[in-house]
Amino acid sequence: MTPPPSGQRLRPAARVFGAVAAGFLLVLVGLMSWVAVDHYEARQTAISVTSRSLPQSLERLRLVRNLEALRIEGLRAVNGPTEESRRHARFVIDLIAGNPDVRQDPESAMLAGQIADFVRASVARAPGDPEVEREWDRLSRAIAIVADRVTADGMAGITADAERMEAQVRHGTYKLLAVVLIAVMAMLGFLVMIERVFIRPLARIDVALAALDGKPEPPSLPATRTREIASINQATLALHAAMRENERIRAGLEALATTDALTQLSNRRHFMAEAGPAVALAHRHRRAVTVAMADLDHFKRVNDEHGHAVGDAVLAQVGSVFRASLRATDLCCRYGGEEFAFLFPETSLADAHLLADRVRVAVEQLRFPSDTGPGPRVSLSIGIADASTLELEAALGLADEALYRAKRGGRNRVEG
Amino acid sequence: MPRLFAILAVCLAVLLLPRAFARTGADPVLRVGVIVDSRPMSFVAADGHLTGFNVELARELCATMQVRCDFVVSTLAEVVDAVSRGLFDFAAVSLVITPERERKVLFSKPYYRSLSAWVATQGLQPGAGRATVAVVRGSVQAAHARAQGWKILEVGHHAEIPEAAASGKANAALLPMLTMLSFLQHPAMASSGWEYQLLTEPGISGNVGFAITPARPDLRERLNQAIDRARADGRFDRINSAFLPFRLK
Repeated sequence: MTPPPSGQRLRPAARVFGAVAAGFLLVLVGLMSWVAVDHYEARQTAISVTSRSLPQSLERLRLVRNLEALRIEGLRAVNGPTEESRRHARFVIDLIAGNPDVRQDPESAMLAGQIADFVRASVARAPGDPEVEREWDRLSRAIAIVADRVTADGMAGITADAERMEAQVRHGTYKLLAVVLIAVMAMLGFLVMIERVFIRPLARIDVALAALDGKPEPPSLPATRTREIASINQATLALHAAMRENERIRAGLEALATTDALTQLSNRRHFMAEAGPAVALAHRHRRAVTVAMADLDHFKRVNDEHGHAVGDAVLAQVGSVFRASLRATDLCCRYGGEEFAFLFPETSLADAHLLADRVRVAVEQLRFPSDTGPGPRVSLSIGIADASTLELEAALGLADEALYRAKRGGRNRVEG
Repeated sequence: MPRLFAILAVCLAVLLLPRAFARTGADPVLRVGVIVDSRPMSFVAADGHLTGFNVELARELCATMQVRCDFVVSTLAEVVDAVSRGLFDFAAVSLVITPERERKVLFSKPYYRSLSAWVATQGLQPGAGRATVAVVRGSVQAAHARAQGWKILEVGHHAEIPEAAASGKANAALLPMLTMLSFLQHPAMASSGWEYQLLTEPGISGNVGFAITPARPDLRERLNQAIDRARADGRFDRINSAFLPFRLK
């Protein structure tokens, strides 16, 4: 793996996301503790209700019952039918006055004492005495008032606890909502982070990989600070470089396979492979197409008199002349040792004749000066044939016959 | 598959069996000591069944503890020692909590505070030389009278005291406040002219609880919880109203 470009600090995704997750968990634990405080306090209040407020309220209610019993026994003590019923009522009043919860409530204690005194004093009075009735009325009303106050006391504790618990639950609910909101936002932030750190870069890498080929233009890769994505980028670039190298080699091999090294013209096989479809295309669209066969005159003599090196130089030059003289659409190849074939698409026989003659003149004018004297002079015999209605091989055969006629006719000429 | 069923069956059995044992429990029945002839706290009603404030309270406590209670009749003189020796698991008897009794038995939490009442022929004060004071054997009143050097007449049950008073064998009595309620209503006391005083000396007034055998400290915890439950859900108040004209504290 190639090292990352220098000057860039990369972070491994695992560590980043680990840190984020740990931070999130810490915050979440903190928030839950914050909520749990209210929950705990609400529970404490509930426990206070059952263990303190409720029993206290029941005690207050029992005191109220004793105050009512005072009233009942007071009536019986004054108006009871027999002495023992009145005595019994007096005893009960004394017991109630001596009861701890009556004695511990100052108003109730005082009232109970007053009633006990009243009842004892009334023993001496005649029944139906209006003053006794009036006094009893006052005491009776006082009992009712004290009883109401004690009842209200009893309810106050529970009411306060209930209100406190309601407030605690309400606070807890608000806090819980806030925590839920924060958690949702954190989740969204986390998702956004994943999208930016992973999803989007990977999508761009996917596009780049799909378009990857041997062309020199480098793939478009996402900028990143994440080590894993940077690794993928590195690998993609390396793959691209390899593909480019591959392409270069392949192009080179293809060139080798299709080109004649000396003349830089197509070789025969490549010419036949290209010319066939070109002729078929011309036939399909009923266009003019012409083929030609050419042969260097007396080339053997050049090799014998000047050597093979010169002969090779001649061939190379002739190849250059062809390439310079022909149009982009024309095909040309080294058919044999000093033999060449041509295909002229979109060209009538007459135009091909003119074109071939131009080539012949250019070859004729070639000079090969050297230190040892004037170099060889060469000429070209060319035979052309109309291929508009013939198969390629047949047309080349006709051109070959025309070439033969050109050779017999004196060389350095165009026939056909 | 059959093996799976077998494993499930074993798991179910393991889960359910302890429950089956728990219901029969370590002690399915408690022996509870009571006294009789002690209106309104514990007595035999006209139709022959045992009732009274203490008896009904004990029934509610046993229901809360989910145990069966068998009531066994005893006397005030014997009940503390019987509980101490383990003949009873606990006693549904109003016993003032004294240091002497606490040396012998455990006590539940107090369920009310008691005073004693002196009742005597007109004008006779506590401590008077000519007083013969009727008391129940084994009660704190009896111990107090003896400690004061009074001349006493000991009887076995609270119900015998009106007869002693009516027959003249005693001209005074020292009773717990709640038992005094029924004493004052006894036909024999109807026009006796006897008068009462409430006494608050330590020794004859104080917190009242149930005695529990020292061998069962766990029972005290369960009884206390049951008492709290009965006070909280109104059963204690219902029994209070059935037998007494005012709220105990």
